[in-house]
Amino acid sequence: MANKKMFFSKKASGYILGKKPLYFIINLICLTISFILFSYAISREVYSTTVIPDNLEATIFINRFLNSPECLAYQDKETGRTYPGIIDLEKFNDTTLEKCYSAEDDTLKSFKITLESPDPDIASKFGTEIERNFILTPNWGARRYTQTSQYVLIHYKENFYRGRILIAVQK
Amino acid sequence: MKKRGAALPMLLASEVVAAAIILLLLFNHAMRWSSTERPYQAYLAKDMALVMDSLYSSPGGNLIVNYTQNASKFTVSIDEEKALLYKTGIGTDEISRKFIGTGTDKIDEKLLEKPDKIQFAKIGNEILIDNLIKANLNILTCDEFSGEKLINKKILVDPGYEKNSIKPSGEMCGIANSFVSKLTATGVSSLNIFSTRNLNEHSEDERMLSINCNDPSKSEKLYDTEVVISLRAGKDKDKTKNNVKAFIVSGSEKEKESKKLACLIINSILENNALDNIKITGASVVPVDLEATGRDFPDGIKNKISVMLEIGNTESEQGKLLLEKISELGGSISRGFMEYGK
Repeated sequence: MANKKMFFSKKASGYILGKKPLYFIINLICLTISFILFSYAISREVYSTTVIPDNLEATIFINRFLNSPECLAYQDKETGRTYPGIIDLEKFNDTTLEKCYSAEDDTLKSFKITLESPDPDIASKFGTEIERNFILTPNWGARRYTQTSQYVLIHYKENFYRGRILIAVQK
Repeated sequence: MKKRGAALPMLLASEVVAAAIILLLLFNHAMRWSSTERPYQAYLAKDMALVMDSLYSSPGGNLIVNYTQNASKFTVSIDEEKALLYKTGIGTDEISRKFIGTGTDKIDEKLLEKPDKIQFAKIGNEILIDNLIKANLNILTCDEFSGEKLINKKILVDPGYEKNSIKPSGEMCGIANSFVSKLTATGVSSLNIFSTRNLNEHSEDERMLSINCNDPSKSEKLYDTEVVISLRAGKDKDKTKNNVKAFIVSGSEKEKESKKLACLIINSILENNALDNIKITGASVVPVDLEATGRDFPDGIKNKISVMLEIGNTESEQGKLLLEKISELGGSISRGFMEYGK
């Protein structure tokens, strides 16, 4: 009742009129903020109903790195046959990875691929013939990551070697 | 005081209008997002983006994916980087999801309005999206290299010949003759066609050329030709196999040209509808080392455009059926040959 009185009293009207620009601006800002928050909350809700498991998406990309001839998979130049799961060491560089996964956007998944081999022939190539034993997608940054590993074969100059690939994924 | 009194209702009115507009927008926004179709639209966009990511992961070869979700209420547009879905009406209400392509595969962009059915395909280095994709999954991906047309080149046709008392396949001579006749019909001069076997005698006026299939011996004449097409019947103990192979010489100066021609000829055979009822189990271009191979390539082919086609399987039923299609095979080889350089 006291509020009502104040709102309809002349004093109260004077108060509103005196502060009118400020009141109007604050009111508008509040409404806009509530609109944005409300929209954001609804869109988040919709997004949450369509979330794809992280592992699924990451697995698709890992398969691409290991199976696609545009990525790291070894392809016989003569027959054109691709050997999924066999890493061509000559392709193990950032340029190849960028061609096969050209994501610069931080909102997309980023990957760091590390190649290890118990074979000293291969281990000695890193830092000499091959720049380093890991490669990064362009959007890799200093963020939290999860890592998986997989045993692979490595092809280098007509020979095959045992190896293991470590794949770190950032969301 | 009078001015202030007049301003008050105006101010209140404008404030009510502003609040009403914002409430209306909020309500509209809420209704849009709370619609049951909206999450489904978002799900479809993400799902299609994942299908695209999966296609890029395929290790070569051709494949078609039948998309089983119902997208018939939306317009679907997939470009180089995203899957976009929207409903046409008052204002477009679109949702898009990104996928990540590779530099080598190209997307044939297409707008699908209320599609009842969607198919995704990767054929060679091209990604196709359509209601129904009419593509032959069995064809090979030929190199993009384009050579000079072969129509004016000198051509040696080699249907095989008697060697160490081994007689050549009778069907190959028929296929070679069919090939030669189709070539001459499409503008190749008969003066430019030669064979490793003896030719039939024709009067000069007839301008006809055919290989004498009754004489399996090797011709004693030597020809300096630029293109060599050898034809052999396949033989495999595995009776389930019925392949078409094209052998080319590895390390030859014309290896690239030979590979392209072999690929075009094989694809022409695989795309021939007249052979649809025959099960061809595989097709490939195989580079071989001329020094090490046991295959009887004609002499002096090392640096020529040269393809040895091995067709069918004389040990299998399907292989025999294929080898009986003499005219169809001759036509296919000729079409593949003429396709070179286009």
